[in-house]
Amino acid sequence: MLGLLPPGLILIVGALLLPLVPRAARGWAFLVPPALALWHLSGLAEGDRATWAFATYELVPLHVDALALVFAWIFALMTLLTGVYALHVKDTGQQVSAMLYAGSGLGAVFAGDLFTLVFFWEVMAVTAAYLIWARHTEDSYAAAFRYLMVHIAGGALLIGGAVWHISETGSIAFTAFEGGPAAWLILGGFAVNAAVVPLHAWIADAYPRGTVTGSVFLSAYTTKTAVYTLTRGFPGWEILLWAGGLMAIFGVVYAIFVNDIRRVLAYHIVSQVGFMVAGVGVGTAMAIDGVASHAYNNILYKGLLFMATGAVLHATGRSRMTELGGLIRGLPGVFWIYMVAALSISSAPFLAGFVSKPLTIAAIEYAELPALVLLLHLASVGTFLSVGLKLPYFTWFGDAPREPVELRPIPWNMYVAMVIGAGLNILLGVWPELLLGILPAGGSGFEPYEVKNLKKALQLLLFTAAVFFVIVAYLKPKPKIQLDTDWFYRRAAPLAWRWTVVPVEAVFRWVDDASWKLASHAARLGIDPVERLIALKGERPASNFAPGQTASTTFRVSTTTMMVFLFIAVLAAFAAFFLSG
Amino acid sequence: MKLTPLRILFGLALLGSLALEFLYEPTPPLEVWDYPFFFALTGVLGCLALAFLAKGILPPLLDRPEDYYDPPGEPDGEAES
Repeated sequence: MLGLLPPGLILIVGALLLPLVPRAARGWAFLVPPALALWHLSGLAEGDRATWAFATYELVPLHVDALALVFAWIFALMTLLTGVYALHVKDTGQQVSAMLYAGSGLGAVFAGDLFTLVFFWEVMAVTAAYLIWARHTEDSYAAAFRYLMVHIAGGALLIGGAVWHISETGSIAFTAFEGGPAAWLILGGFAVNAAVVPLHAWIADAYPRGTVTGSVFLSAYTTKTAVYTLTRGFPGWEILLWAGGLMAIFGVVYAIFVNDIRRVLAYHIVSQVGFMVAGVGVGTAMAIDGVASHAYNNILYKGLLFMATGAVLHATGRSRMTELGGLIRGLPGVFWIYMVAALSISSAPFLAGFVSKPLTIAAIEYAELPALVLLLHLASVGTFLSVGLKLPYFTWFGDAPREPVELRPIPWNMYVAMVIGAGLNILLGVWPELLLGILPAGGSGFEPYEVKNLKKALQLLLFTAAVFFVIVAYLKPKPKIQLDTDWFYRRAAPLAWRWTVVPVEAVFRWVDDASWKLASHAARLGIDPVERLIALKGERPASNFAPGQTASTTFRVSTTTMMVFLFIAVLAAFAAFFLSG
Repeated sequence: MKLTPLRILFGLALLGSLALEFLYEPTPPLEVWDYPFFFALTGVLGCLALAFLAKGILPPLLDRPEDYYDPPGEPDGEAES
């Protein structure tokens, strides 16, 4: 029925219609576009393609292949699931921007040309910023502005690279790049959205400051769209191998020592995306399968982690571990749901992560990169330590906070979404063929439930847990923030203000003052030139006027005098002009 | 340390994971991760190393007060989801 309509447009049109729906029904109406998009996706097949004429170019808003379909399925599914989670939200702005954001992510996935990609890329940046801004705190306003600035810079790199590429090749097609300055600029644009270190700081700055439901949306699309575009544009680029390895370690180290539970998860996105970026760097069919499956599962379990921590924030109004603790009695259901996601992201058997992360690492093993494999195993330890042990321990167990927490009830729809999310994590863990079967290379023959994979996972997780329970007091969080690369622009902003705006303002103020003084002197000179001339010589003109006589009484005389002077001056100027000509 | 059923179960799980070594024989050429108990050792040493890095080495360099960038804003969660 919908033919070759790009699925992203279903969400975008849905977003534009949402404000017309009565407020009470809008939450339910939000579920219609993603459900329709899922239905539409089931009718699309590899090789489907739609083209639209645009000036002298042919845009390709729909380019369907197996890789795009994997990302599209999970994007649409996550929009639906998060829609259930956000069913109670009545804020039209949030609902519309979330739908536009998801729609533009879906649009970018099917973009077959650079113009279409850039368009959806920019819409994503703006709508995502709104989801942070919509929390309506001073912190969130500032973080949304920084988010927008960073992504505008990333978008500028992408646009610059795209224009350069098009002028060089004459083609707007979005295919694998072979090198050159244009490709590097585009890579830079993608790297910003993928949170490649050191361009990653926006994620830990913005995601913890988003709304409860907004951050669930944010966790799904921006970085994963970037992973998708990197996979399509830069497979096998060696720099990505080591960028990915660095991200994997960097992210978990920060995740271990930050205090805010949603910041832990944000840093952990950097680490997980690192696995995917490293897989893109390998670029083999098996590695691409690993990247696609890991992105798919990551959206599921990271979304669920943000849902569970969002539920904690909703119930307690707090998100710092130092202000939480002992919640197991009040929020036991949220704890168990959180643990399903945390164990899944840690690659525990019978959960989704057990399939995708080992597949990615196996592809890197086959590519004979032992150092990178070791880095990723170390990052896996850090994953379980930060997200699977430390965060749940200090949130649900540990010491209760000094100020007792009064729990707000969690809406039923949030629980429903979380239970469905947990169920999907279990389903994909016990039935891995569901996901492996839709991968571009069909899973590359990977068998997750082999003894060696079980041995790896169980030893890594259980021995990490054993050490954690010995050193748990050492890992106690502190009420501090940690410096990151955003220091350079957050600290540079006041300095840049002091060095650029302040001097310019001072010059303007001086010129302004000087002009007023000059005008004032000129006016007084006009009123009584004799007085001013005497005043300039330092003598008082009192002898010319009676005591108490004001300057206004001499106005007529002085004006006449000035008019004569002015007339003579103008006459002299005209004479000089015509005589010289 | 008091032995509770949970701790006993956890200890048995640790031993069980080590016992899996005897059910799997890697095929040469062997990489470092193919050697017995590699992942148990990685779990122990990796956890200690990361904990020391994150809590021992980096905090003196990177920890700052919570209002380092801005004066404190509104408390978390004040605006509704």
